[in-house]
Amino acid sequence: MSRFADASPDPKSHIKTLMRIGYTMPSAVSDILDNSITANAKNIEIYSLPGLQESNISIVDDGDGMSPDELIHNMKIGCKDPGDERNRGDLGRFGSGMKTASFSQARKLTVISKKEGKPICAAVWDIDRIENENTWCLEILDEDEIKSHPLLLLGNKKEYGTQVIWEKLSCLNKTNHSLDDETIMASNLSDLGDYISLHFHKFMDGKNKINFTINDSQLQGIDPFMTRSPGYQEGRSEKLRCKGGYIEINTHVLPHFKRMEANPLERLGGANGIVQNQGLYIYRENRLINAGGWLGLAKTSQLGALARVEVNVPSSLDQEWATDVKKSSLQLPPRIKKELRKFLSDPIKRSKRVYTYRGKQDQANKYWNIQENENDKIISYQISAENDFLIDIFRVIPKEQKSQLIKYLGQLAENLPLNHIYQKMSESPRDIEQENVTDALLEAIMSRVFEEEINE
Amino acid sequence: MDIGILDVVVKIAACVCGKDGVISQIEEKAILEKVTSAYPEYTIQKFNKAIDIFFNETLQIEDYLEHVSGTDLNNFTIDVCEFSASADGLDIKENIALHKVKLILGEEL
Repeated sequence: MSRFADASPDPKSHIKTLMRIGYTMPSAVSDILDNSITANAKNIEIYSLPGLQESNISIVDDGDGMSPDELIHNMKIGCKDPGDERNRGDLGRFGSGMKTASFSQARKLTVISKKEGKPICAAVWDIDRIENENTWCLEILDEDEIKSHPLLLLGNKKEYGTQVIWEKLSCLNKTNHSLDDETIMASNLSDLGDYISLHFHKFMDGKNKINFTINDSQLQGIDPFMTRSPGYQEGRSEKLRCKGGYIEINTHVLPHFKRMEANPLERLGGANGIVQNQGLYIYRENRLINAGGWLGLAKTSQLGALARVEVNVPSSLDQEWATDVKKSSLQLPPRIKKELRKFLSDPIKRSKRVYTYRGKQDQANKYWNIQENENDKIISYQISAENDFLIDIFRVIPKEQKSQLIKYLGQLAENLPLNHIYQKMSESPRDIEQENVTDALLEAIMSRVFEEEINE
Repeated sequence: MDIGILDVVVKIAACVCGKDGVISQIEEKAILEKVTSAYPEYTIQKFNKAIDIFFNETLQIEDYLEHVSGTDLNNFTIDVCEFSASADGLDIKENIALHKVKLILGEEL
């Protein structure tokens, strides 16, 4: 008869696995921010102040906070069933994000929380202690310990909410030749600011906007579609009904690089970033999960650089979309792939059009066209190819002479004495007389041909 | 006709259109249009409720088809399914669920 043996994971080894789940520092902080948003926070502040002996990161919000029992429950790894239905706007999924994200960046996680009508509470996961004692021993701080915590911000700045503190940072990644902690942290915080500004940009605008700050400096959202820039084009959109709501698909075409303002262009990674980040922008409950790339549905190309397809997905579809613990990747279900394919060609085609746009053409008269290219800010004067007289000449002359004539007309347009015309038109426009130039031209050509015949 | 049975018709059409768990806006509109043009008393609220319930149920198309009987209703159900499935240009010949509806409700293939 079969029997069962206890094969629960060894805490010492298990914690090492959890530390290497593949978070980057920005994606780990974002997982904490997800919890703050779910807890209805309106202000989320990130601190990592320089000048301390040991660097740390604090994320403090003014959300609903937790009671002591809720805190202990939420400090458990996998405290929620991923199969459970989540409310609209709930950014959580596995009940592991806060812990695994924290363990990937720091060896000590302290969570301090205060809920209305409940006492302040705090709990600490210390990886060193877990490893030494080989047990999942969660430390619960008493009120005096909390109030004397050197990094406490919650009681002082906010009445309710939650503060997550990361200490003994492993994200600093020091090697023999690395820079000092503060320099590494400054660079990390700069990357973090960009990441949050892009991935949470939909929360930074509108009636229910949330304020995000890093060391008291307010973050501004980065709109990856540049919807407020001149030259932006909105394309087709579609809603697909699904369990728990709608999948919304919107297509966008960015303005041409030359029409983009310097600041938004720089924030989107410059011209290179624009090309590399073309593709699908998938949002889960308004939080950006996938920023660019066509996920195998189309090829990245220079001409498609301005094409963006926004896909908004409710969290009720996590199972179908195979969201991972980090909520930083997902897989498209086959039907969605099929639906999305219908939307890709339009923005890509329009991106190509914007890219290859030669500008608008005005006919100055029967002989000249004025070409204005808004993208390149270029105006040029070209000989009209639609002129009936010119077309008649081309019909009767031999092929060799046709190419000679084209060459000549091209040179004629290129060598238009624009500066002189501009100068004389501004100084003495009435002196310019063009009406009898054809007779003079004819006379000059005839006499030159006649001279050549005599010489021969 | 009992208006409640129209919920079943809507769910059958949703099964036919909603492969992989999503129904396009065009398909959704087509189902509603077809049903309300024949039965104007069937409101959009009823329709939305039926679709929401459909997504939360785990029943198969055969389970819904069991509730449909009578030549008129059979023909109407096939009509709604065919109209909505072809609404967004998908190849209805490849639609196995539609074949199943036609087969079970008695239309000759």
